[in-house]
Amino acid sequence: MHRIAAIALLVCATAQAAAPTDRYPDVAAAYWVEVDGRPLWAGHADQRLPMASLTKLMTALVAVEQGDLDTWVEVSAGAATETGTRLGLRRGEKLTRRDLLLAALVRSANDACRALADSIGAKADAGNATDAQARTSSPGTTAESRTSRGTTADRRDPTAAFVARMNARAAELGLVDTHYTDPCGHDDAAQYTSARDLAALAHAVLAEPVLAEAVQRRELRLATAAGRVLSARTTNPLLDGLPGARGLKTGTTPAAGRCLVAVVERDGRRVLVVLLHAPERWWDSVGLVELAFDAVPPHAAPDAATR
Amino acid sequence: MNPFRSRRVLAAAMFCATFAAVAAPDSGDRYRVTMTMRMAGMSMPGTTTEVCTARAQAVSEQAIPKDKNCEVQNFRVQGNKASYHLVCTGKNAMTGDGEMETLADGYRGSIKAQVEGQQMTMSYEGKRIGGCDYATESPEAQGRAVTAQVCESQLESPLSHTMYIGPKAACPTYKTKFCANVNRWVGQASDPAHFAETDRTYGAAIWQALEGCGGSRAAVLAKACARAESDGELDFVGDYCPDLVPRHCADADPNRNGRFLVQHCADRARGLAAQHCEGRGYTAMQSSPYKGFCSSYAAQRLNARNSGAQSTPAASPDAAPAGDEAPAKKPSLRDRFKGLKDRIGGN
Repeated sequence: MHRIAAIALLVCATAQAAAPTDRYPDVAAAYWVEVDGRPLWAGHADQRLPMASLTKLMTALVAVEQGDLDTWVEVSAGAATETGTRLGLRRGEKLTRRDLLLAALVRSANDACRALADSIGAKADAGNATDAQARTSSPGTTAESRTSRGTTADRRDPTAAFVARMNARAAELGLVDTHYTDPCGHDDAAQYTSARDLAALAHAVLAEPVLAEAVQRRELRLATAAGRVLSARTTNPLLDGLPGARGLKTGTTPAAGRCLVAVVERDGRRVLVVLLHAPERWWDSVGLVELAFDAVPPHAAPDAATR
Repeated sequence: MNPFRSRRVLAAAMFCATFAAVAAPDSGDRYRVTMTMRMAGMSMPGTTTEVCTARAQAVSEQAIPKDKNCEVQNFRVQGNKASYHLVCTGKNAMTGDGEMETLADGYRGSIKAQVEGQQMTMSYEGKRIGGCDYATESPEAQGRAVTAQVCESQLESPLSHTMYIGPKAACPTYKTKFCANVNRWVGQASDPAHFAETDRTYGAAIWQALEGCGGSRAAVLAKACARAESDGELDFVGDYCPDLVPRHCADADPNRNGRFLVQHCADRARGLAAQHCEGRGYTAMQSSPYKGFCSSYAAQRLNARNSGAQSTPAASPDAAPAGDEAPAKKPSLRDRFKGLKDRIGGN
């Protein structure tokens, strides 16, 4: 009996803790603020909106989970002609996947992002082709045994193959309001996410040490296989100005407006802010971070939770 | 162990102590006691416990299973039988009449009561299954041991101060030890950072504990405020020492005390913001000495802009509207029956 009552209390307490309030409705079209993983404030958290370069968080996650980060990648014609923010890669140049990943995250470089996605998508293509051959040559292989990643993509289109993997990974993470059509975040009516989904994705990204380190970088210095040196600075000024800032990603397109996923850590506590279409992205994210740290007392004693 | 759990353990220990509490002989009899209940045609499954009672006192007032809020009245013994009246107060108040008798290898009895117009009967039977050391195995002795264990275990928890201090303290003999710990916890609280952390961590409980031990939060805070003022820790002054705030608005350093100025010195903050923050992009502030102040001001401005939306629940398809909460359900007869069994049987 006591146990049932205790469980009921726990459920109520958990439900209450997980219910953010819309305290700052004018800050963005949709937003999400949490402290140490607990939602604090949110507005339109499940609304599907364009995400601009925040897309690259998933691109980076899929790339890291693919592995082989020291593999050399040849920049394709498609990657070299990418528009928007660029690193200035040239067709035929070779960089490692790791450097392309860094450029995509730190500088939000679309050419690096596309080259990275195509490299992994092409490998998935090859894998699918092998799978297809195997299925053809192995009677009795059922449809259920096929891998779900990339099966819907055009096998001659590595970008589409990579996007299929992004969508599969989103589904695995339970991102029900997220869909990708482009690995780098170009506007498209069918490319959308929600503030809640971005918060969940941010957790997955931060759980990967390579990515958690990459998103904190303020500067980059890369070299192609031929020795051409490329340098770039982060697109995230919070890393320079806000104490404890640890990333994560910026994004801007005409449809998405100014977007941001920011993570700030102080005294062992972590604040996560997600903004989609936020007119005053920087000042408001700074304000939200300061308010969030003030709103939740640090070092709450374990016993205090039962008070 | 959290206080909720500790209170339950303590309550259990106290219940055990009242179950068959008699003067301690050298040894006792171990009984397996089975209880069943019937009410309104329904039976609850029987429950069985083992109890060590004083030898040769099976039929005694103390052998009647009951909650601590129940009192046995008019206990009368005739030969190997006894009768009594039971009065329970509190949440599940009830009265009933009981009887019990000695058997060759134990005892049995029953209690009949009227509960909300329904007849309720609880039957119990104790069967002797061997001997026991009453001094250490009796419910009373075990209750004392558990009580001591609980009292020891909470000495390091300021939130458990009501166990040691006050008229309802369950562990009054441990007060000295507990207060020594309290004094240790707040011993460094004249340091502003330590005071703030203690306050945030334990809230009012630590100060109630301190007052209960003869100390004074006001005295500790006065020292912390004086130290914060002399060290220029104006955030602390703003948060904890409101009387001292006006002295420092004019000379507070915006770079070091931006939060203090924004939160406690509105006039000066507005002037500084107009001069150094308003209309400036965040990226243009990277080398400005007013960056910290402007960050605090951004938080203040965000609050002001959204002052009308302080507690609006976040719109979410998953979030149930507050008005949709189900009203408290009236407990069923079975629930009330079970509650009574818990209460009388003590399980």
